[in-house]
Amino acid sequence: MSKVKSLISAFKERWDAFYSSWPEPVKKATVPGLLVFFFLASIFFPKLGIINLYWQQVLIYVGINIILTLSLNLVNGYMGEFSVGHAGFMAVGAYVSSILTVWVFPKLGLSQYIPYLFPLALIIGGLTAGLTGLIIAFPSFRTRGDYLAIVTLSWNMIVKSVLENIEAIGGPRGFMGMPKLTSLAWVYVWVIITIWLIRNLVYSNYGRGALSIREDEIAASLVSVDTRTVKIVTFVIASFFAGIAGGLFAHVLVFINPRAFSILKSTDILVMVYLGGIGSIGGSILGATVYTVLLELLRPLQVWRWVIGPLLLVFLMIFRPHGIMGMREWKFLVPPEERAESWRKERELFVLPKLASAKTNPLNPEK
Amino acid sequence: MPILKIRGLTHYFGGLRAVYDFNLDLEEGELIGIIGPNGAGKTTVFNLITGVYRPTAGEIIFNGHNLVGKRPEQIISLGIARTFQTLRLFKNLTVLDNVRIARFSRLKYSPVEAMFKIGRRVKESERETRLKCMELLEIMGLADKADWIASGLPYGLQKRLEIARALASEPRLLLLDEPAAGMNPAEISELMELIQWIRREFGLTIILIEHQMKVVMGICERIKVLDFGETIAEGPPAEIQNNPRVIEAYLGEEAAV
Repeated sequence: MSKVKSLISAFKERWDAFYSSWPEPVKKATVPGLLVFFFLASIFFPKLGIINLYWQQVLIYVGINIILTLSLNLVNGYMGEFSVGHAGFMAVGAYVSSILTVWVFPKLGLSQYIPYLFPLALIIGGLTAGLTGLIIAFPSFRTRGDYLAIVTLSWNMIVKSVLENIEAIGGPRGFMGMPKLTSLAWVYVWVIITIWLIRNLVYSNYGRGALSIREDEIAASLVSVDTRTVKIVTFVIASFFAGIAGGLFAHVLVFINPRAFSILKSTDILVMVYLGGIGSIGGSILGATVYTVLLELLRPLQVWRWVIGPLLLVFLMIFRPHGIMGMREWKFLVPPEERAESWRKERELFVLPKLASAKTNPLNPEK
Repeated sequence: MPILKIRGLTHYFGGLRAVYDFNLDLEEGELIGIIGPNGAGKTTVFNLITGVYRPTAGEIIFNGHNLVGKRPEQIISLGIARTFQTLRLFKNLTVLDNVRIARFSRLKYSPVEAMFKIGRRVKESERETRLKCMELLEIMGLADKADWIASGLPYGLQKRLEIARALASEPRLLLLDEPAAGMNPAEISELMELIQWIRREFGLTIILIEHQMKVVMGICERIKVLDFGETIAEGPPAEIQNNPRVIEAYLGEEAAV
């Protein structure tokens, strides 16, 4: 284990040295350049047959899982609450967006525009999921502690049985007839949007509020954090993105049934969150990718691979409770103004000159 | 008009009487001390003022607002800040974040604005907050450690960080709960100077709970002594030191040693 660690740190050192030798404009263009490159790749690689259909499918699942993991990480990782029914919100998004593309849009005579209306269907699905999130959040955050886990667990079960009992949308047989609208490019775009929005939120007042709730809820409220609002806002936003992921999921499978959104699915998302690391965007990306690809590679084990997931969670909790990247972040995911070197620069430029008058302070007598 | 007026404040934990008929008139700019043996109800008074507990009876008027029944974050937003007897920093967060969180109620942008970073409002107010908090850290001698994780700071600096966090919300009334606990004599002298300095510099009214007699007697203008939840004496330090009831209840233990 320590060998791996030293290898990683040696690699990091080399990389840092190499990176700092780049000219400034190249550095600035790296992230946007890569984003554009991957976007073009996600459009043209499938068309040119560079990625076969199977790996396209896997990558699409990776993307959907990144959205799910990142959104659950908001609640469980950043805010430190314990929500275990994320698949319930995914189901809401999946069914609502499917109903829109299968029934509502054609009925409105918009059949030929459906591919363009897909984002709208997803967003409406997400908003509906967010609304259900709001309904759950109101009562469950009135109390403290583990109630959220119990409430979300039952929420997940309720969603599943309600869907199983509505004959109009197929009941237990499931709902089908969606056009296959989810392409690699769409998933890529949504993943980037999700990462960007959640990153902005996390590095804002609300993100800091959520973090303070994780650290010490009473102290948070005693330094003016409106804990109730922060909890509800965070939970609703997490549900919204789960709904988006559900919509994408429905339109890649072109067939959904209630069993796909059972507790097992929620557990998968939990495993990805804790594998990647709580309170980390990079960790969520890593966790979702590693877990999804791992399960694909373990396909030859058949049913036994479902043993691997829970087992992984158990070992993880014992040996690395914070996950791969727990509470750490890849630097390129941190907004420029939130990096330590920018703080130092601001201190030198704006704070120190202004504070020449603070000499009288008993803590800095020599200054 | 007093900035803080407390009348008949009483609190029971089940059958246990923690605070009984506590009265206080605090003028703007005053620095008063609350002392008393362990379990006398000192911290409970702070918890009642800041809304952690709801008093069984009595009223607390701060600056014209009745605080009874308000939630802690509402009370803090009115201009009260406090530190804790045992450090309650956000341990896994950076030093700067610890301080910035205390300005939560002053940042008014919505979550949607935060996510889309629309317009100037988010960026400007964030920048302003960052600079203000960095200034505060500079004053407290913590600015070079702004990106440290709070739990990585030595104990003395963690104590200072807690005071910085309390000041960040720009309070008018500061409640300090045993700021000198665990400090050596040199650090205590520094702390005493610091308290008097921030009081002048930030125009604060301060209530201080302290076991270190040196601190209380040294800087407080007025002292209240609690024992079993009841106020047994009140007055300037010299008077308190010679009050027979106080000596019996509290200082007496020390005199006997």
